[in-house]
Amino acid sequence: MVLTILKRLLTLAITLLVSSFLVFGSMYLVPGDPLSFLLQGREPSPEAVAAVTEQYGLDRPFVVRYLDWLGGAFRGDFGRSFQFRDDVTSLVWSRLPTTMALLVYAGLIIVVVGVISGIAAALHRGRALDRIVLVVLSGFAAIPSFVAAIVLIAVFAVQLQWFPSFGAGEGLGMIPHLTLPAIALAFTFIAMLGRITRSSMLDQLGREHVEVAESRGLSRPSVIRRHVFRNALGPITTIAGILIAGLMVSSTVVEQSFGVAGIGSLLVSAVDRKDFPVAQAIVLLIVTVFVVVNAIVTVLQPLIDPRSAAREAAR
Amino acid sequence: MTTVPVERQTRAGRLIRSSPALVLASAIILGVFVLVAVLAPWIAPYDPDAIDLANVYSGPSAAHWLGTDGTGRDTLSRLMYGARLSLTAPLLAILVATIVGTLLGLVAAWAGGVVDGILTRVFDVLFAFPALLLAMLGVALFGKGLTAPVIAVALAYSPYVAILVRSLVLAEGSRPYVAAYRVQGFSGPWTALRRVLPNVSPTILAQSTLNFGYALMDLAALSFLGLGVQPPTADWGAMINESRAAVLAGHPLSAVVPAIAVVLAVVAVNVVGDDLADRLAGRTRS
Repeated sequence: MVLTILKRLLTLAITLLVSSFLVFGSMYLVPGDPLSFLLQGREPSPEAVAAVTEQYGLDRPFVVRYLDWLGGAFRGDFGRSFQFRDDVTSLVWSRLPTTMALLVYAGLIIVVVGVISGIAAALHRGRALDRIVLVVLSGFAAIPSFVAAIVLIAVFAVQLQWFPSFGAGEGLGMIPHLTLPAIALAFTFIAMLGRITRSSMLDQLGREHVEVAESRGLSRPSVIRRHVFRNALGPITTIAGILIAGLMVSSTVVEQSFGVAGIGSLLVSAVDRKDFPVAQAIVLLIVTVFVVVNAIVTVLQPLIDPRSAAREAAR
Repeated sequence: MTTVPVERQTRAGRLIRSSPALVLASAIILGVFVLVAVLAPWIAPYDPDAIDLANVYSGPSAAHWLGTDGTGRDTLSRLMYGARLSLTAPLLAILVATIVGTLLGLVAAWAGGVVDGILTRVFDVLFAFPALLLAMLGVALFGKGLTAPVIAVALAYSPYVAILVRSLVLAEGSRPYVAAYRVQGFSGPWTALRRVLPNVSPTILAQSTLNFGYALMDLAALSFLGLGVQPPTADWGAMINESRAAVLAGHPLSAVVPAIAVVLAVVAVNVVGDDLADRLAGRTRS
């Protein structure tokens, strides 16, 4: 068990190391000199040239540069933004709460609607409710976040004026401001979670242990809760990584549509204005979140379902 | 560590058996989109870039069936021309992803051992980069436009193809006919390319069709962010981006029309792709 976790941690470290190397090294794929790539479009004052040379250690060998950058990343130092006169880290840090609020809001909607619709469909397998849920979910899966954003703005912000169309708001004001962005984010992921929940529930419903539990005279709700849903939870949690990373990527589109000043819109403006240190840091952040969440899920899997640990050991 | 999203890999989410009518309708929609894209210069009623400031935000009329945008450009004409880039860019990306992914999957399955281990690691790392994120990194490096994003999207989808091909070839490799070729002294690569690949290629095609839908959304999102196709060039994502001010001003038509086109194309591709996968599943079972 401990050995498995250690092995996972090693894999995690290697994956992160390789990803960080790709994100850092990608800069050198651009033809020409890295200094002029980093400074493009800006008039290079001697100080700026010196600062960028220093920041990226351009006068030192490549491996040293990479290790230096990685060491900085570990200490939370990603250099300075070219676009804003600020450190990349404090810039990202200041935008983080807004994005977190949006992701949590969207996450709640996704989990509640996705899991409930998946369970409802599974319990009514083959009947009208099941078909309706499936058709609606298939529709949701084909709605990209920018389409959802535009339609929600047109209907609920402009026509009906129920919600603001711009900005993130402050304190409790964030709730009305972030409602439409959270819904726009949610569609695709509700479809994903709802389908997984349904198939995972159906898989369990057909198992022998459920029949046994029912034959013992346990009430249907308790069988569903304790024998079906609890076992179905394992497969459902495996999509947590793709869900969270996917949300962060889609949130760039949604934040941009609704003028929400979070990490996503920061990434878009960094890419737009060629502010590479910021873009680099955010890409690495999203990739790290994806890999780490996946690792956590695999490590937690045995706690949710002890049998998966047994399967692992048997291998 | 397998970080493969279950949904995309196995289409576990595939649950509704589409009715033949729906599949036919979807195929017709795709056919019409392709035809319109090819014939745009001959059938579009207006020049897609022709500005007409006397006819700004006009609703649907006999002269402009789908109205005009904020600079009086004909939305229908832009939609028709926009289909060209909006469809060919993801097609190109998925074509490259399919070829690269198939080759990598074949190599991993047939070489086995260390090569397989290394390739599987590489796929694991690539899975950590969602297509849209990789495309944005590409734009940050190489500038706006479609070249870098198309390569980035191809790179992001190739591991999905590769792991599929790898598992298909491994399953296929244990069949008697493969052993028969080996006994007769045919080389591994020859058997893989000439005998195994044709057997697994329909499944690859079904997966690539579904990937095309995802890639279409990714690239449209990129143009919507203003990082892909640049104005005034017509593209569905870019059209929605250019019409954002119009939406806020209460004239959503020029944004909603390309939005519907994107959703219709994705739904149609998904229905056709799922149907392909279903037919193949039926065939291999029988």
